[in-house]
Amino acid sequence: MANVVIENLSRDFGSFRAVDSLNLNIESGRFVTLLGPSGCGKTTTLRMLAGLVKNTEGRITIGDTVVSDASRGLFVPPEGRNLGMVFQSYAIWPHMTVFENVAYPLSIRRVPKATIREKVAAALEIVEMGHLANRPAPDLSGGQQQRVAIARALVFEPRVLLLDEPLSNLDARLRLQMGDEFRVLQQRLGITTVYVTHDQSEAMALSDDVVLMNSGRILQNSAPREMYLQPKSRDVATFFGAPNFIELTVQKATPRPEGDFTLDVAGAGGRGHCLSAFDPGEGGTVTVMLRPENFEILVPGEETQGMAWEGVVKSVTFRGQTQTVVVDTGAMELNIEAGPLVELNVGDQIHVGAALSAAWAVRDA
Amino acid sequence: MSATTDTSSEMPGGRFAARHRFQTRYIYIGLLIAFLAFITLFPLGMLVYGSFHTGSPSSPESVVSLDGYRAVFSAGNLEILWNTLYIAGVKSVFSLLIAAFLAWIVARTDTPMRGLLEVLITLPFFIPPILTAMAWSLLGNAQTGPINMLWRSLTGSSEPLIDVYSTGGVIWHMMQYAIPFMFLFLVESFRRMDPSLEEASRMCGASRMRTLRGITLRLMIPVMATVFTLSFIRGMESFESPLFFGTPAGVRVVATEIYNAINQDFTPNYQFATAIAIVVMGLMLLLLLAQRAIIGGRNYQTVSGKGYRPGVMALGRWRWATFAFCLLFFFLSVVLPVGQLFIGSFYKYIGFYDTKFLTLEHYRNVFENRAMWDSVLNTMILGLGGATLTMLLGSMVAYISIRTRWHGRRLIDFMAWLPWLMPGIVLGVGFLWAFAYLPGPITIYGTLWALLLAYIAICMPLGVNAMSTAFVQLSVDLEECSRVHGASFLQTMSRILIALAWPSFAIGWLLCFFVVMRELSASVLLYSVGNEVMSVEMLKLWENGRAEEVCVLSMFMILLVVAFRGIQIFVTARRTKLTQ
Repeated sequence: MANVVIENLSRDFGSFRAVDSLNLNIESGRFVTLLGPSGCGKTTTLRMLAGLVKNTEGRITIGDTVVSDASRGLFVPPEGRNLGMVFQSYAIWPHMTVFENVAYPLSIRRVPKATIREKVAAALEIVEMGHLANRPAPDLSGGQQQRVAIARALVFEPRVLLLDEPLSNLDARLRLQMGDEFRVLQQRLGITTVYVTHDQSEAMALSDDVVLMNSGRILQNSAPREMYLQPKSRDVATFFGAPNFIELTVQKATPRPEGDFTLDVAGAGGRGHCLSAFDPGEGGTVTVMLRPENFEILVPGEETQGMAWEGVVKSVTFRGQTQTVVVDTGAMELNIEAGPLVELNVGDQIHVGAALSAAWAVRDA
Repeated sequence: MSATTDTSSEMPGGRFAARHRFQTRYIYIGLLIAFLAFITLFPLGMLVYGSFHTGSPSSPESVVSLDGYRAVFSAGNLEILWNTLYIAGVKSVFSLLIAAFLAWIVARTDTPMRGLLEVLITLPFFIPPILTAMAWSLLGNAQTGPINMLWRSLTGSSEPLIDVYSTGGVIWHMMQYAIPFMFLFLVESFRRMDPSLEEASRMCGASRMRTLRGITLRLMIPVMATVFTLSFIRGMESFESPLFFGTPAGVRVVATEIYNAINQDFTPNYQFATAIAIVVMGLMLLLLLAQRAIIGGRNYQTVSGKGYRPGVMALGRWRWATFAFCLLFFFLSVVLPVGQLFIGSFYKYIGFYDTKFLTLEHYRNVFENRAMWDSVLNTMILGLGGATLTMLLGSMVAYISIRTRWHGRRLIDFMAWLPWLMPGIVLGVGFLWAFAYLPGPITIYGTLWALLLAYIAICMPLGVNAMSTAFVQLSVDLEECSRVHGASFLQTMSRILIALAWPSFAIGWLLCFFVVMRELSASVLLYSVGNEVMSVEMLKLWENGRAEEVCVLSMFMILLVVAFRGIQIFVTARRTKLTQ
């Protein structure tokens, strides 16, 4: 197991800067996900870690060895880095059996035959593929290929495991199952893992830390809950779902022992309190983010710690698990996700609120 | 709303029209089957008939006999079969080694100017073999060839460096065509290989060289086996190489033996010619079946959907060595022979290269020679007509075999592919008999029609292949969508299918034109006086010792090749843009 330190990492493709002065510190044993839309530089970052793409600037350190330092012209090729990798296409070699595929990294390292047999059997047992060792690789299903790819990446006890969208070629049900199994396996082995995906729910479910990227830069690096509930910026907030943004004027900011602030805010036909990571100053304006599923429909007279609005139901769309309700407060429209049991009709007068922890001030940048 | 009403009111008429079209379509299909049978099954049937009879169907003395086969398998003639297999095998092995190396250089290394090298390496494939054969006869002649003269003056040796009139000469000439042919296939599969298969190997700790050996080349084995088989079969069919370099040295192979049995012997020995034709086709079929059996299940799907290009290996200083190797191949296969023809066309006598012998006399002779212009005209007519008809028929065959579930489609497909297994000279013999003994007042033999039908048969597999690939890539949805939106079958064909597949049609057309232009082996049996084509005219001139005029005609042919190849590269580039 090893930690990974990325300093000022950049990669140019011609005049296009795919990754732009990236800094990232991955602690040993963590499961870190690089998340972002396609073209954000996440895969390029992973491939630079692997040594499959050469960084044009910056330094990568794995454990206590520097594997790439552009300023010194140092570059360790992929085979010298001792990293395991699972590819999006799995890259199972079709001319070999399952056993030969998994044994390959060991035979490269001139491990004695008997040890190879032992280790391959153990690796295949971990991914529950022991019974298929002698199958030719082309006869495997997508899920089985993925298990073999993981076994192959783990069998030589690499320092770090890299995964490039390994679940994207599986159908929805298998994706959930393999994701869960993989998380359990990672925690059991405690191997440092860098995982690339564009699927936000996959990133949330699997990772210790999510690194959200866009245009080659890191927007935010934090635990999934924090990323979702307390995004640093409007861009981060919008990446996960379609939250409501409300412009409000700050009347008072009170520091909290957690290190953030409670803001007294008003405007847009209501007043109340929200949380903020910064103090915008009295009289300043803030954008408050409210996620649709964090509203509650209040009974008349009920008070809330956070914010509350009076409004008229403008439309209701029943979706099964939830229903989407658009509430017109006069000054703006709120998108609200309500449970399927609530009965609402267009034209109803309602009272909606959000708890203090659901209202979060974001920076616009 | 009104649109819906309109359609429903026309429903009965529409339905009737559909049924009507359905029936006429069967008439077309019937005609197609009859035509394909006429140009494939009929000549093949005549070959089989001929191999078992001592004479022609109309001859009263003709009796059933196995003499033809007995002659083929006699001790003296088994050597012919052995030579054919030996030459085809040796040239395929060497060609594969060189072609794989060239393909790897172009697809997977940072050798400079790879785009240009690719065009140069594939160019020899498009030069008619009769031209390079004549050029090498001049270049590699043991006594008078410039290569040997240069060698002797450099080393003072009295022995020639090479003698092109030998088994080695036959093999070398075939290799100039086999290498670019194999290269075309191999470079594509080197390029289309999923790069993560190799990257995974690097991540597992394997070096570049180890990955090349253990993963890349082993993944290429099925493709290599396929091109090897194809090349082997082409080697067995090859006519020009043994005709020019084998026959003078007494090296006998099947193709030239058939030619000699019919054209050179005092009385044409049809039974021997047809019997050995049947035997060699049987061998080719066995070869194909063996290849299927060996690599049948090992057709690795290594193409990935992801847009990454396979990694390119940095060769450092060695990249100039690989560059030079590619250029050397181009030099030997194009520059030398074309240069010889070019120079030869300007000197009074080939071999006497003194400025005082410089002349334009041969150009004048050729331009004033009526017979030559007739042959050029004939080749153009047959090229344009043959390529167009082949591609139209090929489109129909491809459509029927890919898009319909009709039972007869396998028969149509089989007949269209049959000529692929028939060497040009064999096809020529089959047609010769088929046309000569055609019942009734139809005269095909002795007219341009005989050549046209033969060319259509020869080009048919090519045309069907070009269009099948195009149709497979077009989703059925595109057609169905057009039908749903009110277009008829024929409208859909012309406005959707042909509109989308025309670049493939154009490329197929050009390839057919190339084939017609270079075709010699069937033409030499099927032409009649007054109906010569360029290749036949050149062979006749050559045999009359007028090599200088052949050089002039060659220059003209090479200009055509370069022009058409240019158009082809342009169209292919357009198509690639269209599909991306």
